[in-house]
Amino acid sequence: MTTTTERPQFSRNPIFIEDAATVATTGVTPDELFRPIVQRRDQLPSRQHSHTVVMRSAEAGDPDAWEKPFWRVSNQVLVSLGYVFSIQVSVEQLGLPTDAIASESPWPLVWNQPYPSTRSRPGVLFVTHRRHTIFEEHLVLHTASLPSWKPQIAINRRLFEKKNG
Amino acid sequence: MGEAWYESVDPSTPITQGDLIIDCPVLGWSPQTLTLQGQKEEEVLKGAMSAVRADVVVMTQACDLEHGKVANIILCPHLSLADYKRQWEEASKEQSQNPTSKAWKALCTDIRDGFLWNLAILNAAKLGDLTTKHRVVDFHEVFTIPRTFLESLIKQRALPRLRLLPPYREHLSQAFARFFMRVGLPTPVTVAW
Repeated sequence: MTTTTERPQFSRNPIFIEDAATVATTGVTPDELFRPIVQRRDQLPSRQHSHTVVMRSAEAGDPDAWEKPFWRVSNQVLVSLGYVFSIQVSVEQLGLPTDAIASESPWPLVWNQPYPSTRSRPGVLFVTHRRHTIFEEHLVLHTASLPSWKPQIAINRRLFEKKNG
Repeated sequence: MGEAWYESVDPSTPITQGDLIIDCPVLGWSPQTLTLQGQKEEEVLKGAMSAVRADVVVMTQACDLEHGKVANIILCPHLSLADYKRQWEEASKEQSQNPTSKAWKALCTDIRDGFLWNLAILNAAKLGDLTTKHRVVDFHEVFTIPRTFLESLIKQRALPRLRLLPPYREHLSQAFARFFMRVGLPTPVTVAW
């Protein structure tokens, strides 16, 4: 259990826990992120609030490039006056300590639903849409014997009238 | 000859917009009319899948490729001017038109000048052993292919490829955009001149 001493500036925004400096601002160290993992859920005190932990690819150097953000209700996150006290997630959910993002979520109960990942940069919005697969089939293609593509040529009669006339 | 339209890039160079890929296997849909007629959607679609080989050019934005923002790459097919001419002549005859050389030249000029929305023409190139005649790009057909597959195809072939250089690359991209953004007027402006 870790207690912060300062009110986070990002209480309603995702908290990126990327490096030691950022971790320090959240009051949660990488070791502490892992520590609650060994706790069983029934050993944890009940709390009124839940938050969301989102994974982030470690290789994403671009802070706007969100990779693999899985929204999960952490088993134990306490909010007191907007402070993040602790985070408890499984290893699978959390990944490496430096990969973690903690966030308050207005919809903590959607943790078991795949959530569209939104990646943004100026002028471009990337959304990973949920897809319903109609069918999947393993195709065997003999690429050496495929037919060549042919264009569908539309003949412009006005061109002929104008040029041949 | 003026400024170069192309550069030659080796197989290890990452894909970008304007790359010309020759003989690329792509998946599309059969030109036959698709109607359900009581059949299940998936059965009709399965029967309509079609694989072809096509010479293609990468149309996906260079920045999206560079930053790894897309999993699939947009491709448009192109073919040599000679091949296009042959197919144009066949299509003309099927529609009882006489494909004269005058009409052909007018058509090529119209393509070059951007009067035919779905077509663009690329210059010929000779870069060492890498050569190409003029190519006609057809925006009527758009393919997508997994980026990983295309990258591995290029790597496996281990052959250099032609790459359109700016501003010719952007000129092609703009023609592609114009094809989609065009607005046809039901009544054109009355000629008063």
